[in-house]
Amino acid sequence: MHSTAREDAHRVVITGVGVCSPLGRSAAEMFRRLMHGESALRSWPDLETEGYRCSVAARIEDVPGNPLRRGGTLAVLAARQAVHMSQANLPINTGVYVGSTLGESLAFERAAEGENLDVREYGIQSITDAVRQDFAFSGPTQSLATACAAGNYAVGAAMEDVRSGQVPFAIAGGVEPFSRLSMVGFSRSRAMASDTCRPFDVGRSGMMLGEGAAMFVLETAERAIARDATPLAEVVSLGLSCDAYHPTAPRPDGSGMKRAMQAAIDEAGLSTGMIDWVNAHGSGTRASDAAEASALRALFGSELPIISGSKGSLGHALGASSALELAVCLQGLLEEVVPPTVGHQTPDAGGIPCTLEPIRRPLRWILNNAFAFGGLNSSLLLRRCDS
Amino acid sequence: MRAADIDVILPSNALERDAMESVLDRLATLFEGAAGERSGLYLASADAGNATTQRFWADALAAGVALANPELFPWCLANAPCAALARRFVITGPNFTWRGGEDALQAAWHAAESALERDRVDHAFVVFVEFGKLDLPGRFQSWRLRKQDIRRGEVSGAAVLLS
Repeated sequence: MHSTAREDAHRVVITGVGVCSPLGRSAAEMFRRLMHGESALRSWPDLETEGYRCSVAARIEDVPGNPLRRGGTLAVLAARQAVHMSQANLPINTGVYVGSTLGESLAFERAAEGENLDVREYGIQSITDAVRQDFAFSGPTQSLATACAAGNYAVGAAMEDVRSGQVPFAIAGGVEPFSRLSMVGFSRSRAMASDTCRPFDVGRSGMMLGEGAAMFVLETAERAIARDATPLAEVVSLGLSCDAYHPTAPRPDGSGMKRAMQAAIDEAGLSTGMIDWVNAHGSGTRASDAAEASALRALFGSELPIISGSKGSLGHALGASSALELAVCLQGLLEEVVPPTVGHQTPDAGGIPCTLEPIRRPLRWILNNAFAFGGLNSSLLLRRCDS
Repeated sequence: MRAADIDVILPSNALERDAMESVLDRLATLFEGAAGERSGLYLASADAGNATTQRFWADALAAGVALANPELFPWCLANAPCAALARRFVITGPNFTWRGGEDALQAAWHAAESALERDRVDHAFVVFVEFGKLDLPGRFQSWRLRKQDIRRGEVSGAAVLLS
């Protein structure tokens, strides 16, 4: 990795990734289908029958296990993949860091419908516990409840604890089971698209709901090299800010989003011109995409890096979205190609042109943006690990 | 370190939005002079969002999913209380919410201290709240930490740590 042993002790790398998504059950499969421009968004007869105004979503079929523990199941399946890929013999004090928006949403719905359930056992922490128990870990756990930015937050928290030596390894990521409650909430808030998700497109009309899980194994570069593991990418920094503006709408000028990206870049000691690719939040809503476009223009000026978005393919998986998209970034780094932005054709006047086709070029520095209700802004900086 | 241990006596089934509205003004002294991006919020809660989520869904079923009132939906999200603090006191730095018990509070303290030590913020506010137990005293606590004034003791559940 062209670095000294001392530097390697402070560098945090990803050595395993696991994905359960509507476009496949591995990072490689999801990425291959993204590269072909596939979208998992489609109409679901059960949602039509139940009277939802919008019955289009990106869902995973044939998830095994208890439906009330769908989130835990997805997280465990993704974590097992990640651990298998890392080939690490994870010690008992491995940390577990999970981000989600609503946790096991179905249990809350059932409880509200009168089923005798203690909802305290179905919050986000129950998903974290599912992963911890599956591996019989007793290390620290964190359950990040930071809505649609939760995956970035979880990986960032894991990065901090690995870097400081608090844990030797971390399993971190985001998960969100499909949620009818969210379908209603976003639909009735007029945030859902009328037909499909079109990130940064002039004709965009909103988001579409997704689901899934992506988990990662993190360790220091020093440890990875010592055990002959293959670092997939370095997690460098997490920039955070809050708009403090509105419960659901972003600050229209994008200044908070810009500060998050700037913070990630500054902490790494980079200049904006060094960023090769921004995986945008790109939810497809009028307000969020306009604010993010303003933020990107304000930060990068006329020298925009490559910009892509994945929610036209994967839908918006809420707390899992930034983790799924981190897996996209990781795979893109490894294959040195940026996938097309499904749903994007024509940007707004002065807006952000996104990838229309796969773009192959050397990639080194990537920002993964994720923003959330409450004005939370996050941007996770990744770096390629040179062989 | 300054702390505010506010007695919020509300029914145990009170919604998170109502609980926050009842405490915000009383936190003004704690947050005085901290507005801006050099302040961060670190909130831990075992149950933020639980009450509203159930109310929202019950209301949605009563009205029909196509006609549900979306007003409560943002408060189904566990980060809504911390976002409300940010708006009220214009705290535009990092904004964290953890779900859980002692592990969540430990994570909040750790992140707040780390942010101060790394000079990411000048003021860090740690908040602990159990919305479902606000009929009992001591279930809403908050601390203001500064870089030169971090004093930490044992933090366990709802035990009050003040100095």
